[in-house]
Amino acid sequence: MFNFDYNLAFSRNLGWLTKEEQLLLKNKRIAIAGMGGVGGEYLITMARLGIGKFTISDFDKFEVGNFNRQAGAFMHTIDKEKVRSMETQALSINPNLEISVFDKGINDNNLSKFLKDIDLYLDGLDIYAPEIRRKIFAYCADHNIPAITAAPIGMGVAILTFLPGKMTFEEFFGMKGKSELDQTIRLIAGISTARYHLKYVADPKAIDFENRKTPSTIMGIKLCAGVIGTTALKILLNRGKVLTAPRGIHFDAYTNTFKKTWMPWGYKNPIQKLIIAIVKKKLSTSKKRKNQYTIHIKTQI
Amino acid sequence: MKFDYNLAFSRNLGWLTKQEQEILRNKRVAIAGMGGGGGEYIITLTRLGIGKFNISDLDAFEVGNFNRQAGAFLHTVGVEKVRALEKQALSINPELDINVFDTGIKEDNIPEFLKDVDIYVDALDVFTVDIRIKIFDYCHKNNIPAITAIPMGMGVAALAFLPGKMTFEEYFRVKEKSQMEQTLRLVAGISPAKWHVKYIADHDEIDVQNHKVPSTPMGLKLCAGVLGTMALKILLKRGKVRVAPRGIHFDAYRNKFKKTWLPWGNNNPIQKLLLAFMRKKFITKSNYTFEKEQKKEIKKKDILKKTA
Repeated sequence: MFNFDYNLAFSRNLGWLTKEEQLLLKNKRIAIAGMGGVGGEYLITMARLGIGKFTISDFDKFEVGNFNRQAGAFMHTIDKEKVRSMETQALSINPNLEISVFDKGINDNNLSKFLKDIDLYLDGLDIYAPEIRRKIFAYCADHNIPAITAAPIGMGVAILTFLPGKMTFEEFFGMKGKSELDQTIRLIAGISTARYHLKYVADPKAIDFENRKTPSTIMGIKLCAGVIGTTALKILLNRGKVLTAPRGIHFDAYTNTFKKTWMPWGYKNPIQKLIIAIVKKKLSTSKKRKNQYTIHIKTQI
Repeated sequence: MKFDYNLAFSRNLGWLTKQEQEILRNKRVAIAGMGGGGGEYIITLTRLGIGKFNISDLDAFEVGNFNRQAGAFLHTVGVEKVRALEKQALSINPELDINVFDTGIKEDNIPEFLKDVDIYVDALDVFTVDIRIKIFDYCHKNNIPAITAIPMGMGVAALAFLPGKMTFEEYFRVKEKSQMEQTLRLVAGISPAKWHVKYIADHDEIDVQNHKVPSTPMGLKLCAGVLGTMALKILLKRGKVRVAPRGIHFDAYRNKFKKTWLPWGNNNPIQKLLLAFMRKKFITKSNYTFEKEQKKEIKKKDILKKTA
């Protein structure tokens, strides 16, 4: 076994970073909730960037169905806890990492412990965990912690950044006190205001919100990691211009389109209200259609 | 636990149809280079469900690769890059059919490397130009689509060369040039936008002459996202693909995107001006430092002589 040398391992970052900046990154702590598709990729990206401390969470185990997109999903990690596998993988990039592991996921009780002493929060929760996501972002806003969320949308990425003193997650999405379905709709409608991806959905039948089955590509996740990693670097080093909510970006590699999104007043924006209503209607009609279809089949049987 | 292809890649469905997934399963992708770009590409395309690969590299992993290369871990230090990535890909899809070229690509094994390949994904490093020209040449003559991307800082610039369209040489004009000039033309050709230049933090760390250029993991993730999408579109013949002299450049640091268009490639008169400017800036700059060091050494020798 040889001695691990931080400076050598991350030497090729220099040029895009100064030596002083690299040392700053070494002493930062990033929290990532969720070690699935985006979360796993974020941890590896940030570990390779040279971040020295992480707080990570997940309560799930890897399964074969994760293989198309999750950075920690391999034959030898099937049935292993996601947090533990990802911890091992990150440590084999930088054995000096300091990682706090939350293997039961995040709830009201451990929220403040999870976000203790962190410099930045990266959102790696899946789209069906809106309530705890809302609470994490609210805590970050109350405690002046920068927080970023990105969504892999088809073969593209949409990102929103929430910084202390700026518009909050709640002000943008308006999720407090809503039903889970409502929250999910607001989340989807809020983050992908450009909706480029709708043009190339190949099989709409495969998208099933009810059963929490939405498709996702590895390319979308790689793009998320690239974009969120860059934004994280800018925030942690206090350099470059960061677009904060209600502004964001949406880049789609399939349609080759890019947009600086801007939705002033967030969910209160009349246009956004309309979009939320449309998404809601679409989901309920597809549900109705599905129900009619099953009834139709049942009567035939 | 048993591996099941259909289950493993089921969550692609929706963005792909079942038939398309089955097509991808039977495609063969060649990737030359298993470093920063190549390692990301094979993992990305394996998770997309591609079933067959030809991969090459002649290097072994070292600690200096850790900041960006998908296969660089403590347990792969000293291990051949091709072997480490073959293993990693097989642990995502054990049914993969992978041909490994562990001595790299040379003129005589190009036909074997590109045999029965549906698309070539370029992942050679920026200083390997001669063999790159030959690979692209072979692809053109044998109607193999070929795509390339370069991580530019925290961004990506990508180009596709398709059968019957403008060739790699027609675009870059690198044949029979000095290696330095070739690298310059490659970089200038692929990223006419040059956005990354504005946020270089430390110019002293960039030394083109000694093949030392910095690179970020973010740039590589963006390359994987963009090239993977391009490969999908070409292999499934869907969506509009931008073909050289058209390309794209996306920069996550500057939040900028451009559909690049460089008619006549590096022979474009405006591009020629840019090349002249870059030549002056980089080549003469490094010549200058070289001369300066030589003078320093002469001075040292003089002092030594005097003290002796």
